[in-house]
Amino acid sequence: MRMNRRLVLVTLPVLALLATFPKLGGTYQLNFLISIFMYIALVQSWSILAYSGYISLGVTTFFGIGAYTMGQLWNAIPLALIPILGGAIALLIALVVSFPLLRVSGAYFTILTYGLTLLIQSIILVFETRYSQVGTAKIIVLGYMTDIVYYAMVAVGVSAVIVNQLVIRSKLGKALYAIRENEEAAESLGIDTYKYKLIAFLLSSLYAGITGSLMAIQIAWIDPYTAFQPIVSFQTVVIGLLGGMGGPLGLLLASILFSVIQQILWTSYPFHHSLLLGVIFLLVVSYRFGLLSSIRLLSVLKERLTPTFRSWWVSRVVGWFKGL
Amino acid sequence: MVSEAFVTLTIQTLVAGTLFSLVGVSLNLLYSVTRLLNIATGEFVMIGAYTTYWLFTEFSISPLLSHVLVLVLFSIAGAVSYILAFRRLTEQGVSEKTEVASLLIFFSIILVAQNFIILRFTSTYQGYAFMMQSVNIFGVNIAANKLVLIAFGLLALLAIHLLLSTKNLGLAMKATIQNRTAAQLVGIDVRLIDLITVSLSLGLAAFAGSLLSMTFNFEPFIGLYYTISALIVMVIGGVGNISGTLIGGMALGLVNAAGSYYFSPGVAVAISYGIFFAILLVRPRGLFRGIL
Repeated sequence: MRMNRRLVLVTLPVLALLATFPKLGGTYQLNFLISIFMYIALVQSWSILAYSGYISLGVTTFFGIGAYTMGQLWNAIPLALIPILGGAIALLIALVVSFPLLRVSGAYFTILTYGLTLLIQSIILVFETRYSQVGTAKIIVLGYMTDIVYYAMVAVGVSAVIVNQLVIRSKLGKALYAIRENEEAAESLGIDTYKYKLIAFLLSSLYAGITGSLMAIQIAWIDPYTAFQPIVSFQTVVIGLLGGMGGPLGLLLASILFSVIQQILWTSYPFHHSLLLGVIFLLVVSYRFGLLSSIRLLSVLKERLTPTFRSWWVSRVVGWFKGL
Repeated sequence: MVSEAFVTLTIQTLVAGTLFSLVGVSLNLLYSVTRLLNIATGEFVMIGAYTTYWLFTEFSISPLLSHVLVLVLFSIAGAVSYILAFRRLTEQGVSEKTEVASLLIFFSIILVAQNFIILRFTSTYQGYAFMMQSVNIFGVNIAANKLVLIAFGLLALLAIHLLLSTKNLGLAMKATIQNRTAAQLVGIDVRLIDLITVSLSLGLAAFAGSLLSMTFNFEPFIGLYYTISALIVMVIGGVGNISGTLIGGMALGLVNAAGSYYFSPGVAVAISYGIFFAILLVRPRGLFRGIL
């Protein structure tokens, strides 16, 4: 209970700050926050499925479906309905593809989700080249929408964090952890593994769809290539793994850290930023895997290692003197 | 008399099939031995293509020589990258964690490779003319470089097959694929096998790129297509099954050639993904079981 109260004390000012931000900051800062909350929404929802040990590289699929829906419908139906519709379509397609997808495990699952993105993209491409008369790109022209997109994105991001926390606490979260430890054992204990995996998969697809619809307004130029960018999947996985998949907090910090690093590189090295980002990832992954998940471990390790370190130093110093 | 469609289809199948088999073997060998899931396979293909292009346009080194050069060069690069980065991942035995960490490493490699090539060569299509004269086969004109591609590719695949089925090294690799711990127990130096596998795998991927640069135009983003093809081939052939991978590569090549010939390249890609899904639906562990 005390933990909860402290959490509220931290969260409320942050939320208040976020709510008033459009009055304080400029468009640039607002766009930056939108991208942070995009990553938060994607990563938090992706990690729900990842708790079960199923690493999906298919975030782009549902993100793209959402974005494509917005691109097709933005001037046809009320704007507020489209993210909901985009989420619903993503959910529906997730339900259809879950049938082959959830039958496989391990690397096969990862590969298949990756292939799914390209399958849907190529289906849309074939369909468009066959039935569309002119150019296939849709340009979204809505005037100044940044404020509204910002509020919507913040709402989606915050709700994703809450849902993630609720999932961890619930029976679903326990079941997903059990699946990660040993799927067959979990099944033999009477856990309906398929059902829980399906719920997790649908939840993450829904969020990716809604996020995609909202981000389409920012992307503004929607064709099958801009809607389905595999890099979105990869960024989500990178952030998720950096965050350590131990719960919403680590993922939240990782999302913010990633966006800040990306933004700094983007502004200071416009031509080399992706190259530098890759190098940074390479160093981080090769030399300190699970950056943020190890923060909690660090205090434990410190206690255990300090005596060893001390004796190591002592022996080195003594050895140095002996060498004289 | 052999019909024109048959000859064209056979050549196209062999061209695509050789390339797919090469990248498939590259991916499958690496994954089954070390559990490193190389989603940057296509990027090594792309860099291989650019290397040969660069050697040809800047130093006028014949692509025929570059193919071998690229194979050797990237094998060495693979060995170095194993020592620098991958050894840390595979040292404590391989597990799911290796897989996940390798995804991140290879994603970083994708970013670095694509952007490096864009900065050096810009992101437009590149290509060069080499052995463009046509050879008449049963009344159909085929560019000579396609035949060279097929010959070089099949030779490399044959070499791999012989290596794995007759040599002690191949046996040791298969043993490591089957059971890493047991392989260690019977005295196989698993770290050496890892080193050789990484080096061979990266060398093969770049070699495939070097070959395709003779025939096709390329840009910094072709990697994704070859990566996904390699994944499909691996799924068709089965993880750890190298002979199955060769069959899978040719099968995918056939689908691609027929789809492009009768419909359009876009439809061919859609069909390959569809088949990929269908196979996994029926046989979630791949078409061919076991290790050959």
